[in-house]
Amino acid sequence: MATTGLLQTRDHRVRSRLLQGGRQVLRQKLFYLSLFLVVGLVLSAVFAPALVPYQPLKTNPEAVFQAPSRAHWFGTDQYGRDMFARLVHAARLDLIISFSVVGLAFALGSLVGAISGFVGGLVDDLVMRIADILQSFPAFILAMGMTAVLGNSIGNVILAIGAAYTPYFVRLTRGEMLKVRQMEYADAARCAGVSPWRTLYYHLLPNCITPSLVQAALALGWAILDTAGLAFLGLGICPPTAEWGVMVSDGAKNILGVEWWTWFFPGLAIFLAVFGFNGVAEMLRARVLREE
Amino acid sequence: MSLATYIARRLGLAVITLFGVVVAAFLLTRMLPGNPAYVKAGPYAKPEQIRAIERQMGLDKPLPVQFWNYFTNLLKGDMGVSWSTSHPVREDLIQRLPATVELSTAAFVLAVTVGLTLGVVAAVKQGSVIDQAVHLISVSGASVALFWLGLMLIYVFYYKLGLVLDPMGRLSPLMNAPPGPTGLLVIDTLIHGSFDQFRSALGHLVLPTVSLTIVLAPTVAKMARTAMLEVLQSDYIQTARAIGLSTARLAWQDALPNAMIPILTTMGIVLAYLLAGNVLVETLFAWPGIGFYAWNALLSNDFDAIQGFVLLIAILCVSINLIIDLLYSVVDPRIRLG
Repeated sequence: MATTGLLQTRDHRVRSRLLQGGRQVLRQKLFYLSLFLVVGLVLSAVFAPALVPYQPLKTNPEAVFQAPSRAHWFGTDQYGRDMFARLVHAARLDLIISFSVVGLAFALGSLVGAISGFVGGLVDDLVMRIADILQSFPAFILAMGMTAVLGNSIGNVILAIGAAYTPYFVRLTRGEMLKVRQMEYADAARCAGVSPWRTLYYHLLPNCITPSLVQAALALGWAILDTAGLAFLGLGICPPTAEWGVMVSDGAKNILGVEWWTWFFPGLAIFLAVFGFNGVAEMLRARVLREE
Repeated sequence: MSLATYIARRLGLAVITLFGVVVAAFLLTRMLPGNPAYVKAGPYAKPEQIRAIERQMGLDKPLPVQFWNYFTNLLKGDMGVSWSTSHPVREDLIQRLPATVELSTAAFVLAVTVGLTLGVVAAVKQGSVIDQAVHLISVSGASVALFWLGLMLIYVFYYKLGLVLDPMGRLSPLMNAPPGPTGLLVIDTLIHGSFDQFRSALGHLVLPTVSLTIVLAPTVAKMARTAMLEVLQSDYIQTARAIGLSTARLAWQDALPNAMIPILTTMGIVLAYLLAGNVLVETLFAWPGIGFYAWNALLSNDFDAIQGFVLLIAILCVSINLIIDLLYSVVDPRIRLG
């Protein structure tokens, strides 16, 4: 009995290792798929608008609600605007917004978090309480309130969502800084007479940003979802601008009709873009974990 | 640290955060480029009318005085008056809260049940086809736009298949809501024994609940899987396995309780997400809760109502976090010692 039990255990471990490999393979596949999606998205945002023979805002009363065809790959909407042209222009706009949001939150959050963790004491307490307060609001609700007050514009959307995401980066960088500042090379720099700010900037900060990078990849996806969500509520980006959320919201008026392409494709675009960023973030996280 | 000290400290922290939240909500409306009086007076107002409204709203006083007035009013439960419904914001919110509670509770229970089951099964069958499927679902669920998902469900299950009731509101148009006592229609209709209304209430609840569940369950599943894997590798589980306990008993009775801490954290995240996602889902399904109210307030620049809504959400989030923190110490007594 004892022997079989032992054998079973060993067998189980071997099997489990093999199976872990199975998930590894899936993860690999997902990563390549996500990378493909992200690269494709960026390329089409950069080049496609110039290649599509239609303008995103050009209405055409004679081609209203046309089903997908060779002339209009993704059909036309209620004003006869070409859906494909609008989709690729929206890709450009949504990517610009998403990267600006994350750039803002990442830069501001990492800087504040690093200083807060480095200086410590009262400053750190204050920063953490403010982060607590800001994180008491779900990010989308905070962004919603700020956009409502600031008014509808692309800049305000970036500002509102960026501000709502900043505390996440503050917290991550601060946590890393608390670990890093106790490292021997931090002591070494101090003993060598390097000024504190120089130590912070050149020696410690570069070693604090890895977790924030993973978070940034995730946040690129969130920013697209939140921008589109705000637009769906009629906040931030407004019609007739070509933006995915605006397009879903426009198309939703035809939900009980045959014109499914007016709301389906923009939502699909959101899904594929966010899926891409999430997949890349997942892979980055796995790699960071393995290195640790 | 004793349990009492721990609770007292945690409560104190929550009160400080709440005060900060009130300050933030107050400052939010003061970020306005002009000021609320301009918006309230409308585009054709004369300067003296605007002055009058400013005086009436107390906007001519210094900022700290304005805050003090806002804060003391708030303590009395006064959140201002919504000018689109011309009711006090507090009454509006209280009246609409049951609808939101009904939807959120249904979505929370369903998402946690589905998510936990998927997560535990994926962890036990690590690397299997099920595990890979759960992984794929969890990345997809985190990538889909809630309102688009809702649209697809409406299109397929209402428009194409005709399986569900019209996706508008909580009851069919000609039905009256039963009078209390809970405000949760699924329960109230049962208490009053009106089964037609019960069926209608349940039928209207299905699509918004499923939309939220599809987005939320994957988050729970992912976290539950990670937490379970860690516990399943520990020595006492290996021992239990060697003794010959069944896998089901091992997973649900021996491992899951010790994986509860990260799962509790996830539940907090899920609840916070529900509060945010409500605005989108309630708007899409014309569900008359506080999210739908907030959307109407947004459309009409109804700032007192927006401020009240944002504040209520933040208060709910702080309370949820407090409760979860206290639950940690129930689930794992070591935590309050730390």
